[in-house]
Order: sequence, then structure tokens, then C-alpha cells
Amino acid sequence: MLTVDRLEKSFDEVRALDGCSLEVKSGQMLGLLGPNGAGKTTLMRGVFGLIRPDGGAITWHGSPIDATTRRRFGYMPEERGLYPKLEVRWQLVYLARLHGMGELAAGTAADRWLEQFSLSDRATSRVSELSHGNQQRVQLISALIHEPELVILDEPFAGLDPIASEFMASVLAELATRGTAILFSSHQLDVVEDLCREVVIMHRGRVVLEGAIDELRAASDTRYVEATGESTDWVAELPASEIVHRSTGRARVRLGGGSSLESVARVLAGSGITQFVFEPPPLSEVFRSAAGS
Amino acid sequence: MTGLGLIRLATWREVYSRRKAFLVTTAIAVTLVVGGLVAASIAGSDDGPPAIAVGVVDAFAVQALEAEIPVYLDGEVTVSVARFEFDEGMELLRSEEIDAFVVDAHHVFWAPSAPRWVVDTVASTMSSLNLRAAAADLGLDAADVAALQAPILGETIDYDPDEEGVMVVSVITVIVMFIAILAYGQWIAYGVVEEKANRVAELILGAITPTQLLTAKMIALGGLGLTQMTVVAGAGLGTASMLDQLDVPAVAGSAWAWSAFWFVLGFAFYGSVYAAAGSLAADSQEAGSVITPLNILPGLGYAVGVIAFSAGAEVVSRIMSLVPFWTPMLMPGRIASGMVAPWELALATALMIIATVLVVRIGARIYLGGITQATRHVSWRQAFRGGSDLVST
Repeated sequence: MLTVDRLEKSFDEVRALDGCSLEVKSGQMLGLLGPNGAGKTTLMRGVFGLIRPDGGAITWHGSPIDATTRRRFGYMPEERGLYPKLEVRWQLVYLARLHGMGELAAGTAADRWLEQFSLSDRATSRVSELSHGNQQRVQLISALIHEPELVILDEPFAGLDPIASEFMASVLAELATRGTAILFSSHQLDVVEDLCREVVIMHRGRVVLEGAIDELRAASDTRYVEATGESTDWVAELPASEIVHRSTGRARVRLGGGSSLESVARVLAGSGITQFVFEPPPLSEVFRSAAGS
Repeated sequence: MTGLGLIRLATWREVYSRRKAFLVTTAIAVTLVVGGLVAASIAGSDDGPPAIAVGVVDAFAVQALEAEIPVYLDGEVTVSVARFEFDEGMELLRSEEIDAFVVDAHHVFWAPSAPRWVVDTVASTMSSLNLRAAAADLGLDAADVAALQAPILGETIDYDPDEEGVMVVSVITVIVMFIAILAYGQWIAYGVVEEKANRVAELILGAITPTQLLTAKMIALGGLGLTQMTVVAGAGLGTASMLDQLDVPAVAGSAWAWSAFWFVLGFAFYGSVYAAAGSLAADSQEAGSVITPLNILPGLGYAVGVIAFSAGAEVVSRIMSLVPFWTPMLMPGRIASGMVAPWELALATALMIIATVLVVRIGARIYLGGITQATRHVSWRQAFRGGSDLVST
């Protein structure tokens, strides 16, 4: 289990981490959310020893992380990093060996991953000759090839088309089922909702909200109702409610405080509407609320 | 994998990724050096040995001149002496078909562009002949005259046939060291820039520490530099020797050994400076403005070294060779020329080792501080401060 305990880090006048704490368990896929500048990347770089924290601690299974432990981790930085002029397979074998694999095992793993990602025919191509999507795939392989115990991915879905995103998500989900601890950041909240059960939301260097996505949404005071029907006269009967979206035969309404499922059902039934959805706010709203915007 | 294993692996990557550039630049350098020497040999072969053509009036001292002139030039000259009428001789002189026209024992005309050495040689020979004639008039026999002249011929010329070769080796050493340090230092710098700009550094620094990565770069590129230096210098000296263009002096072998010694120290010195500079740049476009100013340091050593060795300005090369910035470029040449006192060698080595240890430590710290600031340009001061901010050292 990765434990980040009250981590602090300042760059001159900027406080990048201000007592940040979180945990990632083996087999858990944890989404790390936060606006730009929240400290997500600084936190990830801290795990890989790329900054020295001013305070707090980072441990793996209760022990401080040293160079040997770090080689059992996989990292996909926000800014992608590969040698553009080196051949794909050669590069993957090199990176796997840097992480402690033998030459033979590294070669076998490279071939297996390239095949899984449909890149076998590009094994001898230079990285710079690949499309952006394929470079992303190679980047992901480089983070996973040595079968790490912990994988940290900074914006892994950025710039990917929906098909590539779905493929990458499926690979990560499979890793988690095999016991790998996964921490990844993303601004694509729909992907996060699909992939993760739990998220951590950071703001100004601190964790401001954490827990299971369903519980975080349910904990919000805000509720929405989406009703099917031509009339929207019923909205006026629900105190402090407002229509946030309207299309033909359908309206989405943010309810004012104190509107329970029972009271909403009663009003809608009186207006002749028999089909509606009563739900907590989406993750994006929970995120915006937590991030203070 | 052990720390040494990681360094070995990263060293191999550096060598592997530069193998083509190394082979191409080595081939070009060898071709230029060997081709240049062969071309110079072909161009020079038309000149033949130096020659003096002398005309005389009335068969004056024809045989004496033919016999005596080569003595003054150590035998390496073709002398032709012929008799002409005065008008004919003067005409040949004007058209420079002969170099000198001897009218009588005390009067010689010179061709318009007669070289200084021809004038001196003929004049000296004439003086010698006149002296013998005067001595004979005074009753001295030939043996007495020879006894008077012998010490002059035997002791006034202190010529070391190896001297020119040593000077050439010294100059070549300066040039080769300069090119090797500059070229491979810049390879290090631009390699660091590439890793930073491509963000590879972020990826691999989780597995290998910055110090191990820097060490691997120094070993890999230093090794390639030393290999290329040896191949190019060996090809040049070997070709020159085969063409009889240059007597490869006995010092060439030891010059190489000393060059290798100083290259290792010099490359550690300059390599860490170039690595530090490379780590400051945000990308390859910005790299030139950070790296190029550094070239002034080895460039100054190169320029002064070549001029000092060529002109024999021993004081200048002696002082500069003790300054660590330039010791790697100047000291091998000075050692080859035999100008270095043991205490100077000890002092230069001590200063260079102290300076190298200092510069490597400072350079490594700046490198650490710069390489981890992905995509950002940082100043020397920021990088130096940031270098202490790393866990993975």
C-alpha cells in the first residue's frame, strides 16, 4: 500500500503540497482529481524521488521508498518521455532492464506487450515514426512492462481518441484485478467515473475530498430530477428549483434544498408526469464544489 | 540490478544511440586527415630536393664551388656550376635560370628573387674559398686551413632532426584534444538537453539516479572520444610515416599515452560542465545559447596552444598548461616536446585533479537541479540550489 502522509512542498513562494495525505491499496484504482496547480504532479514526482518534500512522508507497505523499491514502480509522466530516435522494442527492453528485468525476460515481455497493443509490426520503428496514439501506447507499455506493484499515471488519457482511451482503460482495469495498485490523474471525469470506485480530490496542495464516487455524490445536498413530459409548470411548485437543461419532451431541474424524493414524486404525479429520474449531482459538480469554483 | 549494472546499461544505451554518428564522424575525420596528408605528399613531390644554380666567369673555382656548397647544407642540395661569358651570365641571372653569377673572388650578382639561404650559402662558400687562398698565400698548407675551419663546421650547427617532428606532434595533439573535448563535450550537452526536452529523464530517473545517469554519459562519450582520438591520430601519424612526410618521432607513442591520461581528466572536467549547461536549457532550440559560450574556454586553449607551439613561445604555453582549463590541451604537447620539468608535471596533475573533482561535484549538482525541471529553462543559480533538492542522489 502506498501511503502519503501529510506531505509538504514549497517552490519559493508557491505552496505546491500543503499536508497532502492519501492511500492507494494493492488492487485499487484510485482517481486523482484536481484543478491545474492543485499539486497532483508534484505529489506523483515526490513518489519517484524527483523532488525532496519539505515535510511528511511517503511509504510503500510501511517502509520508506528507496531506489530499489522505486524500480518496482511504473510511471507515466504527464509530459510523455521516450527517446524519439531509438527503436520501439530496443527502448522497451532497455527500460525494462533499468527496472531490474533480465535481458531475456525483458525481450519476452516487450514482444508480449507489443502484440497485446497491436504494435508488433512497429517493433523496429523509431518512436518518432509512430502516430501520437501509438506513441501513447508505447509510453504505457514502458510503465507496465516490468510488472510493477504500483503504477502512477499522470493524465494517461490526454490526447487519446475514445477507442484508444477505452483500450487503455481496459488494460488498467485488468492490472488492478491482478493486484496492482494504480493511481492516475485525469481531467476526463467520465473516464474516471467509469474506471474508479474511489477518487481523491486535491485543491491547493491538500486533499479536500476523498472516498467512493457514489458516496461522495450521495453526500452532496444537491439533487437533480430529470422528467419526461411537455409541461414544466411543476418546477414552480418545488421551492428554489431551476431548470438547467431543457429539450423536447424532457427537462433537467436542479432542486432546491429540502426537496426529498417523496415530495418531488408527489408534485410530479400531480402534474401528470409518471416517468422521472431523481439523482445526486454528477462527479463533475462534486469536483467543482470541492475545488471551490 | 546493482548500481554498477545500471551504469553499464545506461552506458551501453549512450553508445548504441550514437554508434552511427560515431562511425560516420570517425570515417570523415580519418578520410580528411589521411587524404590531406596524401594530397600534401603528392603536391610536395614535384618540388624535388633544393637546388642551387651558379654561373661563373672564366671557369673561376668551378670545382671548388661544386664541392664546398653542399658542405654548408649538410649535403641535401643539388648544386650545378657552369661557366658563362659575362653578358650571357647576366642574362641568365635576369631570367632567373641561375641563382648567382660569380664574377670574381669578391664579386657576385644575385638573381632578383634569390632565396636568403642561397645568398648566404654561396657567400659563405666564397668567403671560405677566399680564406683558403689567402692562407695559402701566407704559406699555410691545406691541412692548416682545414684545421682552422673544422671547428666552425662541426659546432656551429645544432640541428635536431627530430625537432620538427616533435613540434608537429605537439600541434597535432592540441588540435586533436581540442576537437575531442569540444565535440564529445557537446554530445553530452545535447544528449542531456534531449533527455530533458523529451521528458525521458522524468521516466528513467525513477529507476536510475541522476548521478548514475551522468556517470554513464561520461564513460560512454569519453570512451568514444578517446577511441576516435586514437584512431584519427594513429591514422594521421601512420600515413605521414608511410609517406616519409614526417619522421614519426619516438615520442609519438608516449604522447598518445599522456594525451589519453589528460583526455580522461579533461573530459571529466569539461564533460560535467557541458552536462550541467545542457540541463539548464528547456529544449534543443534554446540549447545553443547556453552551450555555445562555454566553447570559448577550450577554444582559447586551442588557439593559444597552436600559436605557442608553432612559434616556440615556451613561456606562454608553460603558464597556460598549468591552468586546469587548458592543461588537458597543452600539457600533452609540452610533454611530447620534452619541455616539462617533473615538478611542473606533478603540479599540473595535482591542480587538474583538484579542479576536476571540484567541477564534477558542482557540475553534477547543477545537472541534478536542471534535469529534473522538465520543460523549464533554469539559471545556473536555480539549478545549483535545486540540485540539493533531490532524493535520488
